[in-house]
Amino acid sequence: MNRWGYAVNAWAPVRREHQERMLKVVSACGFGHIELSCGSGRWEPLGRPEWIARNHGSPAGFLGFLAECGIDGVSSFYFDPGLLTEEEGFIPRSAADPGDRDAIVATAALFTDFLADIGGSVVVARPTPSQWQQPLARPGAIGAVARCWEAVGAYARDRGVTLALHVDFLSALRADDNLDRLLDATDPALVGMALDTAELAVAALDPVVFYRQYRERVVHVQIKNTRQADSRDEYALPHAELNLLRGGGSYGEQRWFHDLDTAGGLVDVAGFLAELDATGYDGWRIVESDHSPHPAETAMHNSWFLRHVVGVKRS
Amino acid sequence: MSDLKWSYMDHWVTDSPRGPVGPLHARSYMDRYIQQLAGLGFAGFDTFVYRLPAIAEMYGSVALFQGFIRDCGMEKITGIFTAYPNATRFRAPQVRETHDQIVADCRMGVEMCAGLGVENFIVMPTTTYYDVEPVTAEKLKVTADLWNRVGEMTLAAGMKTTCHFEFWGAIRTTEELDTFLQLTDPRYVFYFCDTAQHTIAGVDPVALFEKYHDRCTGFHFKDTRDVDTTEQYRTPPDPELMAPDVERWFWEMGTGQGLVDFPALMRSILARDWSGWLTVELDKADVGGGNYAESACVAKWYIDHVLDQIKADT
Repeated sequence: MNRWGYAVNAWAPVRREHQERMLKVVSACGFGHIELSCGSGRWEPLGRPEWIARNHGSPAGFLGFLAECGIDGVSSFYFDPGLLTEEEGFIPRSAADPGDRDAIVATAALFTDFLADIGGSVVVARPTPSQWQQPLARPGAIGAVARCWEAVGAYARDRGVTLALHVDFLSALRADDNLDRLLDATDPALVGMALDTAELAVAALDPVVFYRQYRERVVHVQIKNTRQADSRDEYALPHAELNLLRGGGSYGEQRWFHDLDTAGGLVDVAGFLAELDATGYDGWRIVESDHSPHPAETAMHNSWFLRHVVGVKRS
Repeated sequence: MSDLKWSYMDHWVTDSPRGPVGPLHARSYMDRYIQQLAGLGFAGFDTFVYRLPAIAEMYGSVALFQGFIRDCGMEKITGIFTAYPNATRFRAPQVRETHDQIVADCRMGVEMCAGLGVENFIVMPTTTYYDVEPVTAEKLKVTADLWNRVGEMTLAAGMKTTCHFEFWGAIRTTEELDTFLQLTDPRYVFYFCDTAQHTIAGVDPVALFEKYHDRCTGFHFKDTRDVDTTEQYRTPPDPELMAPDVERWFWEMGTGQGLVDFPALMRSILARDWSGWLTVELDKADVGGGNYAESACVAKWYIDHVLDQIKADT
């Protein structure tokens, strides 16, 4: 049976009742699991295990809260070691820097332990900083990235959790043959990949072709659509987070990600899902409202597309 | 055994590059709105009579629109609603001279939906309270005559004329409701239970359903947090939109702060073996920064996890 979840990264609930409404939206749209994203501090109370514990008492308390809202559990947690967080002293870390390895492994362990305690199964991690920061320019950088994530993957495996590296369209792994080199340098038993359909499409990559090429390493899937590829490689220009991801670059994109069947979408979502089915993919399929100004509306529309066009059953 | 299905009453606002708009802003907005409702699991769609011409323009006809909503996974248009909130010299239910015009309006709505299986012709039987007061037996009689006439006409086309009473209308108390329903012909005029409107007026909707379940043809399931104890209902210019003491009267089911006892109503519906469409209404959900999509999901969650459970346990 396929496993479906919904990423709640487009919402920003703070108070408990706002968390409750968000979860009920996801539940009412037919999704039984959620994917959380890392954050920092009191404004992102679901962004770190410590804050979840402060808000809900314990992993078990959080599970109880989810159940009250019709949610069965947490599928996965997205972790970016480069994110500035007060809990990490506002120090951005890079797996390409061997000096950051221990700290990354320790922080990843927090998310891993939380998932293990709560019955979740995948740590989704941003493997490197963005290309414009040139994290892989130094000789030996790929090796350092590989050792870091293998260490995270080994810890996760011992806790019954899977590591999935998430390549976004700003990633340094998008450039040259960096991704192949990293995959060659890592143990497939420890390091898997998360395939994000829209991130790949913005990177001018066909998700189906990508999946066929890397099928053995894909252990997690995130599904959304986009209307615009970064065909002029603006991801490599300085401050791409600000100028491209948020500012839209020379394309003028107000938002990069859209509903699954958006008009002019570059991702053939139904075709991609058919490919997953045909190959027996059994990992999570996480749908997103990312970048939507109306996460609930997008969740409703995505639900309709999956149920009535693709033929997916409600969770 | 009750055969119950859920429909959605056509209230929706979404943001656009031009600011907040309704679904009739453009075809793409309407398509997406219907798909969202279908995605949430609603089977029926209730709309307003005055929106039918715009829908027909957008889809070619109301019948073609119904074909579209079926393609999206919904079943059909279940009800059409009409109202005359303010008395004018052209239309006022308590003024007999305007009845021909109102009947003509209603006939237009019925004809636009001919053959589509629409079940309810939902009417707000009066204008505002302050337009009508003093509410006299004679005015209620004139009003009842209008809806008897409309009801006979709509029933011939397969739709039941069913009266939806506002807390700010001229028929709001238990005594007024009883008088009006006695004055109308039960063959032609039915009762539609709006849970929040009755509650605001200080009338228990469960008790009212128990009393009139034989004439009840549908519900608006919506909640409120306020009973009108300060005669807001008779306050011009508009007690629903501009009451001095209450900014937002209506809330979706499931907020935990509402006054309507939905479980009791569901148990009563099941005990009476009542069958038909139960309608979620999110009237003015955007007041104070609310969000129709989120409210729709919260209400549907409440159906799935609370009301359906009562049904399953019965």
